[in-house]
Amino acid sequence: MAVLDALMHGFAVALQPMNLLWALVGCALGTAIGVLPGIGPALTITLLLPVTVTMSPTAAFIIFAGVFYGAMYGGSTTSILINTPGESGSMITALEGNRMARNGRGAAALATAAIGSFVAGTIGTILLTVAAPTISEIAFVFGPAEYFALAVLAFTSVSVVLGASILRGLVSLFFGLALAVMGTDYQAGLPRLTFGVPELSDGIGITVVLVAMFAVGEILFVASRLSREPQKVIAVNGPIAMSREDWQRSWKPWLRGAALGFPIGVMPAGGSEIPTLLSYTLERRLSKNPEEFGHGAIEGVAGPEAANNAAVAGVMVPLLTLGLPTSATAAVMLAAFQNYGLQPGPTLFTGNPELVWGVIASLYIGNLMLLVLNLPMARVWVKLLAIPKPHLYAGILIFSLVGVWGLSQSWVELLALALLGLVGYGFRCCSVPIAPALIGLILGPMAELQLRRALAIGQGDPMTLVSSPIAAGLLIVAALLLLIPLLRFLRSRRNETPSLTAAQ
Amino acid sequence: MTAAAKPFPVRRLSRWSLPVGVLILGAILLREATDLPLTQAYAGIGPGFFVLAIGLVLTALGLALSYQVMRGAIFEPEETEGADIGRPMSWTGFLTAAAGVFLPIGLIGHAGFPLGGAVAYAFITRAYGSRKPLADVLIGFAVASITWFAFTRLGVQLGGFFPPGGF
Repeated sequence: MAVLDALMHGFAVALQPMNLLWALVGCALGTAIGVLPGIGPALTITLLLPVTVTMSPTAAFIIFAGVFYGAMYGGSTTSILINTPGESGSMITALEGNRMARNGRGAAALATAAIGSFVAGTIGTILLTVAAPTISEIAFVFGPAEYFALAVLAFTSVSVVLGASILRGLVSLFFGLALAVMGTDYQAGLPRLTFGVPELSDGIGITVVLVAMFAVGEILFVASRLSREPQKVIAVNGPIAMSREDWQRSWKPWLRGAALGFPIGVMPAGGSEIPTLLSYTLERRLSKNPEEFGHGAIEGVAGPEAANNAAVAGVMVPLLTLGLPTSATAAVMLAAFQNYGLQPGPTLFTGNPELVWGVIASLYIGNLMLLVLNLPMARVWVKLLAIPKPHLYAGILIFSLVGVWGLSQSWVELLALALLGLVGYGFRCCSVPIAPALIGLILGPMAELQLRRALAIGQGDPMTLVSSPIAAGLLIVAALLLLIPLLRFLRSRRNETPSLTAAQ
Repeated sequence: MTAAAKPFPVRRLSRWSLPVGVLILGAILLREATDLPLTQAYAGIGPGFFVLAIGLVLTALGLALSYQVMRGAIFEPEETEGADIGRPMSWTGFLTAAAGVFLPIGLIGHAGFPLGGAVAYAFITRAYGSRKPLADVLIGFAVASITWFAFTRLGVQLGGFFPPGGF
């Protein structure tokens, strides 16, 4: 069992006292930002990038993975107790869990969410352990054409799946691609879109774009439409535990949620929103008392919470094996790998087994830590919400400024931060999703490089891009993702329904 | 997606901001592409190819969005935690927050991170409804100073504490 050996080595790395400490730091930070509004795992990892450059990559990624997992746990706590999903993956929990809390069953809701997250997260991590090495072997045959096709698939799926409309998803993607071509072209050495500004000759920093779009955009948007309704945290009495009946009603949804979440997380643009929705629908259909759904059915919390944690483990598979980010957070982690000069993919497993397996092992440990951090301490985390909103958002800006100013102490980057923050504000005003822009920005240079390489190998013949079955298959899937909704739209136009909804 | 019966003229104009913004961006890229070589030796594509392709797609997307707006589409804001998208946009809140974002650009370099941060902090807290500017500046200065010390110790270069004073 080569995998088991490798995993044991991973545990040897992850169980070193310092690495355990970093896992705890990551998990605690992740839970905290999951509870707090306005700051998510992608932004947190971005802001950590400048701090972690002085650390070893293994330590850094143990923290990042803890943040990624922890945000999911923290998000469920707030959705249950105040009906505001801290993360997009916990929207459903807000629906059902908050009802439970209002019916005085908050403790059971918190317990099923935390234990379900642990069960599904662990199952997901086991599947990751088994699947990742195999997939990374397949990736050995990938050449430039295949990598280009993979990037195209990531682009289209992210823009089609995320957000309110395909058109706006594509706007976001191409905005990201436009930012990606800024800077000196590496082959010809020509400046592109630098407008004669010397600071732009290295291109625009991923940190700046991320912090601007996520943090500054959010700060401006919420300030312009500040909700005057005070938040009401529902008090939870008694220990956070489940009755015998709750266990009986929860364990199957956990397993089904994990079974849905992991494979969808693995797929490009799977993310964690879709599996939670699917799990919710499935549980309602399978439930003996579907009338409870919408009024606080424990299955409706157990299933989706399990699904979103399993999806997070799933997202790690394409990231580690192919270098393919399928969510905003994964995109930032890919950027972090690049900062360390590491290229995720098959060579990462052979060249840096300590890093990969150390991080995977720390996912097991992190899950356990999160269970301990969240089950008895849910009430403590909720206290974070006592931070007054003005100071919370002002604090987020201070950290954003640190993240950007710490890069190179240049006012040009602060200006870029402010201007791109306005763009992020505009995106929010028109419901343009932000994740496609990030994927475009981070994968864009890779796509261009691989396209050029592939064409150079094929001596300029574009047919070389579809000459291998893998590349052709990936491109066909990518094309279908775009074409099917388009055809559907055209057909609905022919039937001339006056509504525009199909296009939105 | 149902249009309000009689939207304000401002609103009617603002509906065009997304398509127009996308078209302008597309135009910038197309303009840039004309200065760059499209092909390169036998490698097939040169530095201009991607710029041209992105510019063309953005222009097409801008046109498609314009078509949607002409057919009466309104791009609704996104549901965000802490925001009430049913409310009309508050320009005071937006501009105050924007001041907090733009002022540090010049301030941090000249007056140092803690002071620049304090000013930014005070504007954001004001935008979020705090009415104690003096306390906010002081808290902001404390927060920014602590951050400055912590990150400087961690090895992040944040410049001098108060450059005009020579620190």
